[in-house]
Amino acid sequence: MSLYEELGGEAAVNAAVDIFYRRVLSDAYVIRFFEGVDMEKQAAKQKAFLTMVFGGPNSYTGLDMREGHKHLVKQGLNDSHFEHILAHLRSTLAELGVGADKIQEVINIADSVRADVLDR
Amino acid sequence: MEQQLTAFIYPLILFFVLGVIVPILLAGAADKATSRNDVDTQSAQPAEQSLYDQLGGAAAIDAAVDIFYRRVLSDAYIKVFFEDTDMVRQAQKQKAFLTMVFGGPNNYTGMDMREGHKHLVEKMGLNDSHFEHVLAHLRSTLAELGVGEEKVAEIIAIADSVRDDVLNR
Repeated sequence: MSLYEELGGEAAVNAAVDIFYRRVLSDAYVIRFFEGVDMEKQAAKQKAFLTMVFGGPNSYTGLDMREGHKHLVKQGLNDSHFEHILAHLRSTLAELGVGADKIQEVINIADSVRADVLDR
Repeated sequence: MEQQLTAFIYPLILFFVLGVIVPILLAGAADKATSRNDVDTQSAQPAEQSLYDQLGGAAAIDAAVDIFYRRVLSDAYIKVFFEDTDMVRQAQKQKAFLTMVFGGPNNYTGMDMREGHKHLVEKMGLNDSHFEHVLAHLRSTLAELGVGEEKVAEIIAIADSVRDDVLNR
């Protein structure tokens, strides 16, 4: 069984999106990067991102991530903000009852896009 | 176990609030001394103002404590370390401790941090990821209070300096 299936597939992603989104948007340290963003498009992107980190079917490319965040890097996006996103992901998974080992697997996948997101 | 947890939680919380407050104060002092000349000319003794006052005094500490606690306790990834702790008493002790610290020398040591967290590292798996969460809650708290990112980074650097003590390595 794939990690994606173990976590609960699309239903789990949908549940995670809601919690993750709420956490991110209530974080004053990172919220500035979401200002002026089309929230409907953003929700779709978050779902795609979570599907990817859950190990599910996705069309993720590093180039998308790099291009999509380049302007934010110019606004100061750095490792500390990336760490916040990872933290919100851990918190979301813990809230959904995912165990520490599985959380670490998900985080490893998410962390693999760090260099793309931060354009380096 | 409950007593052990409680004994751990006090130093943990105290430290992190210190990690927030003291660096803000230090950074504020540096700014006032170097770049806030307009303020200096209007104020009798700006350079002599205590760090505690520069931060905003008790009100600022209360605000930081409240936000930080709320964030930590709503984080499912780390709240297991705070279970069985009387947070009301915890907050009171923390505020008293901070007032003492800003009025005089503090007696915090790395050994306190190491001893206070050792059982959490050994028995509950406290590790870097949990430490990162607490740092993140500190950043979020400071941002919510309007502290600029440069000062936040200074504060986090100080908080991060006790990582090895907290994680007993």
